[in-house]
Amino acid sequence: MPGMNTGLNTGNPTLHAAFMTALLHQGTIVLLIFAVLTIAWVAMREARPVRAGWPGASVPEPSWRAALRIGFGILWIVDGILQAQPAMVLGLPSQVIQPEAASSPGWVREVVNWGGSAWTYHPVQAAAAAVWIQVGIGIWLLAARRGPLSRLAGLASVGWGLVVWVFGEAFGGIFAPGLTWLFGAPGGVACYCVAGALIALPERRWHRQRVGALTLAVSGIFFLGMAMLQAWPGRGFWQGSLHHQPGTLTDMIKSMARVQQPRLLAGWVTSFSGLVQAHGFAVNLFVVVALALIGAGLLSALAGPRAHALIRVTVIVATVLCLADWVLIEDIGVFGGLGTDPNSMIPMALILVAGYLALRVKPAAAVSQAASEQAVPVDAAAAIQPGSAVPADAAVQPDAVQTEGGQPDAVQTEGAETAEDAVQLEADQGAVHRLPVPAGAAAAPAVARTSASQRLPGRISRVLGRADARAVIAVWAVAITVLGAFPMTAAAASRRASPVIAQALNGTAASYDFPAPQFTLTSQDGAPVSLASLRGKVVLLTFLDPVCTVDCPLIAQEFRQADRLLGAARRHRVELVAVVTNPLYRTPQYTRAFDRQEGMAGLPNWLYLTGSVSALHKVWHDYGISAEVVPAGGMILHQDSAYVIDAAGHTRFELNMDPGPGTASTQSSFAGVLASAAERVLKQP
Amino acid sequence: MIGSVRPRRALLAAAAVTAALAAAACGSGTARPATRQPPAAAPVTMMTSRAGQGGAAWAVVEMGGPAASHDNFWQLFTRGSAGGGWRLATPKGVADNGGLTVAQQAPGQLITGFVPSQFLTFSPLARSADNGASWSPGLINGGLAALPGALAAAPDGRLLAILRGGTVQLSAPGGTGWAKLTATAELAATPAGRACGLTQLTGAAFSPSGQPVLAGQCSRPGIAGIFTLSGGSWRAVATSPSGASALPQAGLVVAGLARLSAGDAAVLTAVTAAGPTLIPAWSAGQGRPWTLGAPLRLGSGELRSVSFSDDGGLAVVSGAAAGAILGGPGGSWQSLPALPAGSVTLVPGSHPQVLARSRTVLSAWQLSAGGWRRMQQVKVPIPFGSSG
Repeated sequence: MPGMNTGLNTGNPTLHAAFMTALLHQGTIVLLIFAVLTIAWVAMREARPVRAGWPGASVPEPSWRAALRIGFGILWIVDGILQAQPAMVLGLPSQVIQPEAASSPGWVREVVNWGGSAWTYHPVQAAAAAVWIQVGIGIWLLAARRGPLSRLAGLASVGWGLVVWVFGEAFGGIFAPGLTWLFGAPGGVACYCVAGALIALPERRWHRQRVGALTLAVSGIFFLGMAMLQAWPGRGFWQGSLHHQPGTLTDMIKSMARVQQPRLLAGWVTSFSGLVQAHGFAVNLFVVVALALIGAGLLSALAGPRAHALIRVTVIVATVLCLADWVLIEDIGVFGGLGTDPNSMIPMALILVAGYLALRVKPAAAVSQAASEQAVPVDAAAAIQPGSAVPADAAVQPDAVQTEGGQPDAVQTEGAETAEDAVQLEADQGAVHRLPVPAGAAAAPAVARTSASQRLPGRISRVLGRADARAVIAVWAVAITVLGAFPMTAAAASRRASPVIAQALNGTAASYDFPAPQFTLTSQDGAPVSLASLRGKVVLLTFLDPVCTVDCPLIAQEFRQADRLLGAARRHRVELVAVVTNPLYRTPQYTRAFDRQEGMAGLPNWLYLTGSVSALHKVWHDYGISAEVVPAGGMILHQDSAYVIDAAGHTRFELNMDPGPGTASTQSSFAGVLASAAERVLKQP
Repeated sequence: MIGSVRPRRALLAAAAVTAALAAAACGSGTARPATRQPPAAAPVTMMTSRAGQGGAAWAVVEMGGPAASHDNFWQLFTRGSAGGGWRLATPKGVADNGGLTVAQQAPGQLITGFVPSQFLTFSPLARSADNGASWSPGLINGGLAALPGALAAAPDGRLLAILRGGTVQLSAPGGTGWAKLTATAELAATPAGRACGLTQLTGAAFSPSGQPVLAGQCSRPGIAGIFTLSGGSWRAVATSPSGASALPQAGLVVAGLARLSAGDAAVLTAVTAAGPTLIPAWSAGQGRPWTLGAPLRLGSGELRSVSFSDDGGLAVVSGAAAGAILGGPGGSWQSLPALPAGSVTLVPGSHPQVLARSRTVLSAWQLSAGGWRRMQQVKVPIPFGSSG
């Protein structure tokens, strides 16, 4: 997977600093958004005191949905916090994604590589974006209890979950040969997607037991399938050890034990791996039987209420097994500096528990009846005292006086929603909240509009003024998610790698302004070329050995890419120039061979200059280059410098072009830095 | 009332999922072993040596290591006379992690080709007229194949080169004006190539009369793939050799090919039921048939080195620290005492020497009455890390 690695150490301090700076900047924006939203909300509420409730009889959120929403909200936040670990910037693609996909088929690796490449081209932006997207979705799920915002949170969970499942987990490893439930098949994030889909269900489905029955039945089929895969002969799970080597399962667990983690946990995992190694058959038999029994038990959800007791026991057993697997095999999943999430067992257990709760939910008719019995009549609402607790779903009729859509009103009642508004604001209502109604307002059905609300468009003013704290937080969470998603999308679309990679390798370019040393040499075509003859053009000058095996070909490619980045409009004002640094293999036949090798021969603004040994020595000396001949099969040692010389012949920048590992992302980054330097010089008068 | 899923639909879904999982399990099981293939011929290594008249010699040895970290560097050592010592003569200016292949134009006149490595795709050359004391640069517009016999020199200065991908180029005298001569596929399509079932080229040389000679691997059993260009067409020259024994009915690979002072010599390898076997062959040119020598059972271990001497002698080293020498046509193999640790190539001659390497030190051992005696050590300044 060539695109997955920058070749930089995951502990690179430059990238760490850039990552922390990005998080700090974006965190400041997040707080600013929160402050603005809060101020606007408070102002609107002051200006437009709210009366309780919404038209229509809303049913309360069922416990299964609340469990999923809160559980996965917390999980997303935990995942976001884990993404903020410094090692994620470079380590995620090379040490998490790449190994995940390594044993998958070629087409999976290609798909995953595409995503990994996008990350490695923009590691800081991608890592920071992942933090905010996941934290945003988590807060969104926690805050938006009902209504379109809440359902959208579920869909956001599905959407981002799919992105992570495909690119981060290589489709959860379902196409890899070692697929096993014990190690998280079909991927932890697949559970996030399932939960998101359930959260996104419309309210009319909330109190249908079919949701629970289907969830459990599908889970049952999944468990049965996993039991079958676990039992399938020839996959190595039946042997704790094979030919005195750890078996498949033992080896997997041992690899988890090697992760840096608390000693106590490592001890448990190591002990369990020893147990598996010694009694591999028995352990696998237990797992197969347990999975099969759980699967069968969950499938009994289709049998109706008579199976509820069995399902309860099954869900408890499955949860215990999940927890045991989470600790002893999945190793909790968050340690080692590159743990991206608590792995699959907690989400899976959450879904099973939610499925069981959904199976036990009261039918919608009964809930509606109970809700209507608790509903507060209009008159009662009008009599509510400021600051008193009111059920959110208390029915309130709109006032007789109503505004025209979006037009400023002279007078408006606090409950003057249109039907459309009511749908929008449905999400804002908690079950119970305190009304910040000013003293005396309860008796008056209408409140004069304030200047603040007049300054804002009427609709926004109305919506914001009536929103409760949860809705404001949910909107804030949406903003956080967008804050992450937008730069990530922009980064993925850009194939110009971030300059921070080059900076992490070689530092920043040195800025100068002095006359560049003059030279006259011979081009690859045998023509004499002097620096003076290039006056009027920006010269990107470097020093290359035509028979070099490593750095020089990479630098030439970076020059080519920089030329492409400059584009046709600026290309004719820029000359790419290299000077030979090999005193032994220095004639034009070698520069031409190098040009053919690197595809430079077709560049009209490419010059590869050489000359006599003395002429070359003078140029090297003038530009601070040393070319050392190395015995015993070593290549010529020389500096990998590049100079940007302006149209007036002045040196403006010196760049260290040591290409490092020469990966696609580092090459692109160096090319971008070079092109940017040329662009800056071109813009200067 | 509980909303339940219809059992039949659920059962169908379960069956479908089960079938899919079964298919997945089948697909994800341990891969079956591939169909059993006939044993491959012994690999050709690039470490070699050549002994000339008066004891002058040269040797190519891979040192440093590991190759995976680009810390392996190939070294050329030369010796002026039998009594003289070895000295480092590796040409400078090019990283040689890909390997070195040496052609001898005449005694003391060497042409070294750099096998490309990493991003280099063409092969710089270095020419010496003083047995490696000084070098002048040259070039092939292509990358030499990683074969000990990828480069050959004629007495008139023409060079013959096997490139990566199987193209063969011939130069004008002086190593300039390279032109394509043939390619593996083209040679395989000739009547001679078809008779052999040529799969790859393994060595190049010139016949005593100056004709290009190419050697390769034949897929048809019992046929030696040695071809010469005669009258504009390629002709098999060793299909019916005469000698002590017939060629075994196995796929044959020419592991070594060299132009000697009295003709050409080759070493064929075959993997038979009894294990890998070497068969020497010589040609005196002038259209006379090739003569086979006595076969040598290699035993265990890979073939590490094949060496020639100008007078027709041969020497081989196998991976199991075993060495054997053969005096020339009509001679018999002489097994040598267990070679010193790290031995990589045997230098034939009246006083055979074996060159052994450690990471940065080359040791020359000479066979004496009491066994191997170390004669010399050469410390090599391996430029570790310079190619990484």
